[in-house]
Amino acid sequence: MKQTLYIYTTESDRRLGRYKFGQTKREAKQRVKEQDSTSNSEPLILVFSIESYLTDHQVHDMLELEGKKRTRDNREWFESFQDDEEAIYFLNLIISKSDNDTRPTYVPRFYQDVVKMIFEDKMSKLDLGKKEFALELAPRFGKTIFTIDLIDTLFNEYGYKICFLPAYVLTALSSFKKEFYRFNGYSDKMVYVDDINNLEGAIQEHYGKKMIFVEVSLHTEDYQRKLSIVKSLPHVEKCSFIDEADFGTWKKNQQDFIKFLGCQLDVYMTGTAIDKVVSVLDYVGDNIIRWSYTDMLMTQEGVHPFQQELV
Amino acid sequence: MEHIKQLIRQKYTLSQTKDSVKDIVRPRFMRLSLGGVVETFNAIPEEYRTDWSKLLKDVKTSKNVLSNLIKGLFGVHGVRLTYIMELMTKDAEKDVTMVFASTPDKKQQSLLVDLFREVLGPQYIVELINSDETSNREVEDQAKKTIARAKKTGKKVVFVSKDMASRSFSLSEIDTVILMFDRGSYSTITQKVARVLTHGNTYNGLPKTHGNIISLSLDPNREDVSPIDEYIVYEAEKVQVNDLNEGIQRVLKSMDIFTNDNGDIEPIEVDVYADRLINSSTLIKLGCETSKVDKVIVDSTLVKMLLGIEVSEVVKEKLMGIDSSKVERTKDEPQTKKEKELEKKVEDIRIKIKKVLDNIVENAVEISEINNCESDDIIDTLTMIDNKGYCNEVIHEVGVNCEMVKQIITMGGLSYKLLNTIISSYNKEKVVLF
Repeated sequence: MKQTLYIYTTESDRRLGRYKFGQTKREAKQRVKEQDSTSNSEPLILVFSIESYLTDHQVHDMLELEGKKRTRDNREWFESFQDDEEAIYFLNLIISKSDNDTRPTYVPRFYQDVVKMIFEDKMSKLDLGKKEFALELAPRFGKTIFTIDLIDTLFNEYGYKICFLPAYVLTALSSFKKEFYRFNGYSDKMVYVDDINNLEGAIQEHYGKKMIFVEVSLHTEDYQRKLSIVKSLPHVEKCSFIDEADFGTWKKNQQDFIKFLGCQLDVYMTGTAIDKVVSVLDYVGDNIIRWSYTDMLMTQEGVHPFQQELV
Repeated sequence: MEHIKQLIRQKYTLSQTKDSVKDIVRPRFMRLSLGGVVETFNAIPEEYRTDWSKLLKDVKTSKNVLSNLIKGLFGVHGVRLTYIMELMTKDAEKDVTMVFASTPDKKQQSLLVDLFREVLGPQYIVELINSDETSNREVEDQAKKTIARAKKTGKKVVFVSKDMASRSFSLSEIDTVILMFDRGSYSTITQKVARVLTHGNTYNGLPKTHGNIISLSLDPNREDVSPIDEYIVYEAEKVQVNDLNEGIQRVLKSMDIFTNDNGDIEPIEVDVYADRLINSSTLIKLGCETSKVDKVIVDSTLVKMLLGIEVSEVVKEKLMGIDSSKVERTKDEPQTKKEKELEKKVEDIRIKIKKVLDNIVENAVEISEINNCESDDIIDTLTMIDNKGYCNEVIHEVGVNCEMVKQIITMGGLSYKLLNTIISSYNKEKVVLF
């Protein structure tokens, strides 16, 4: 039977990385409010809730399997989370592994759909050679989930089997992993490798069956040796998505690193300064797609050129 | 594109498309200037006639000026303070404010934070954001905690940073960004402006509809270029129209801009502001301000042709931005001789390239004249001049030939649309005698 799983904490517990994982048959907000009694020294903060077929006991067991420890035996509080986001990530991860996945399904927003259409339109006109794209997407575009969805399409319809996420700014990758598990429909068809030491195993087990995502720090030393397995994969099956590309990825060492990966398709994404990104690319041509904040505001007003003739 | 429009028509209604952006936060720019003050008070103290970089160079020396400006920006109710009344921005909530200030070093940054605390008093939590206090990974979480603490005690929050937290830092409670710098690269301005555009709930738990961006120009001369002007022009360049004028008009229709030019804060007159932005002299100034040396530097061959010197890889990387992995000293160690020499070399090249770019912008109308103003497109103009055999005249005016100018433009060193707008507005103004 479906119920609501929830996570709550207090301000002091949050600072200590502690979160409680509970369940209720009613609304999480109401349940937490009831528990927020005078016996608590601090107000309870509801962090996240989601409907699921799992019980909180099952969640607790799986949290332990994921390496998380209870604050005290038989308690519902768990510790050593970096922040709210990490606690949410673990709950989503556990639900993704259950038989009945109740996570929300990603429905692209209008502008995400438009940019994907333009991308696919341009892809369809390219030959089999090297392909480079530069995407300048406005703040609040939702580019992480947009990218994950696009990569899913690249696996299903374009034959790409492995996707690298090279990053100069390491924080650019933190949202990827979280978004990957937030929505239904991706983590069961894709594998996320956040440590290149596990890459070989992932390739042996999943290559061709699931899209393999690989986090790659562009500061990795001795990358030629550590990633040598990558060279044996066909270049037409490899792609890369480089986020925050205006920051450092144009540098020679980083460009050499990206070239070493030998992908047929490299997609550079940035929120600004696309010309800085494009200046070092040899194959980008007119594969430049921009969706600015003004485009967002024009859409809000209903005056965007793409809205013409819509009723 | 018609094919895509057709797909969109099959898939969406107008109301569905509008719904998809209903939670987008509308930016509300306040382009403030001390120019308005001049009209109210006949004289203005000399120390105000400066810029942020000078003012923040020594916070102790500028303490009085900065205190008044902070009071002016945050409002001091019931007290009449000379010079700052017109800066009151009460329409901007400022429950959670992010200040980006161009302090030269951490010492001055720390003094500025102390000053904010002193001026704003106990009702505000003023937090410094720099690498001594936090890391990029932790900064957002720490800021969340600060806001939660402030809510609990009914206080307001001010975060003070130079550049940190201008990326991957998304807190919907931030309702106001104050830009305390004179100008920056368009990319850094965009990143900083974006900190106020995170949707969600405000400090008061209400759905966020708008975010305030306040830029204060200290120069009473209203002809100067503010970071907001640069932001508007950059956004206009991205709008899919051929002419910058049209792009600017489009951007201005989508955003709210207020000014204090006439003393009170009131909506900017869009046509007047657009005219000012696309007026040739302003555009030339803007073109010079926004010329992008970085775009030219990546091409060593072009740099060699422009300046007649070879650019090594080390110098090239330094020119494009400091690579922290190559910094040879620890935090408190003085610069080595080698570093100083490298910095000087880098600065010299940057200045020289900037001069070349500025010279092209300043002489754009002369280039159009060489072509008898026969085209409103700078690339076409240069091609026509080449075909007519007048390229030497371009070399005479700007020091480089038509092909090189075209290369600089196509590389993004100079804005194509902006140059088109400069020459087209000049071509239109030109009197034709029969």
